[in-house]
Amino acid sequence: MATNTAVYSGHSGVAKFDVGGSATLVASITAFGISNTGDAYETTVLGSSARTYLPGLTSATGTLSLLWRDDDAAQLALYSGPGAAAATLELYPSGQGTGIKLSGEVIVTSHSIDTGLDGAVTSEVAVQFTGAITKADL
Amino acid sequence: MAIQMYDKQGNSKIVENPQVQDHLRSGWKFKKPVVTEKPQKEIQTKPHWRQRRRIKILKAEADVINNNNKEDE
Repeated sequence: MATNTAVYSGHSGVAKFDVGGSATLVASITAFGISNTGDAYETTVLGSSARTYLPGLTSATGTLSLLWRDDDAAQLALYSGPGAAAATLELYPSGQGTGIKLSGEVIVTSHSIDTGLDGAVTSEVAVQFTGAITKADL
Repeated sequence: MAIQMYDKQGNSKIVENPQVQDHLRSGWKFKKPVVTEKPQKEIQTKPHWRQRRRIKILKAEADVINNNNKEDE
């Protein structure tokens, strides 16, 4: 598939989570995000006029916002994620037909189910990537 | 946390989070399976060949008897 030549539209985004070894579509997802950071080790010494740094280790975290579903295997696998071993997360920011796929092993660090008077029951998931994230063109 | 899981027969158990993925790989599901009992086939018993032959003979005899009755008239 071709890479987008313009900006991406977020409404086609897809997320898949490991369900017993199979990447399974996460139903009723409303948003997801990924944040990749890198440490900077300071190397400034006395006499310097500007601080200097060395690049350090990288790490990444992610979040998923969902409308809570108890009939969806991927959502239930995410629900049972905290405390479990790392599992594969695949993110398709512009859908599975175009753009990129981001994938990696994640540890689910938090899962919440939120309900209130004025809206649907929602769920928030936070993940910590362990190891590198792989970016592939679709 | 723990979650209820089901095997193919519909048996359930509470599984702790670290064991959930292993259970999924072993075929356990989050959703209770619909266990449908197959309707039992009606057992059709064929009559034994001796019994079938006897029935045929009986019919033949009946015809003969009928013919005899007609002849008597």
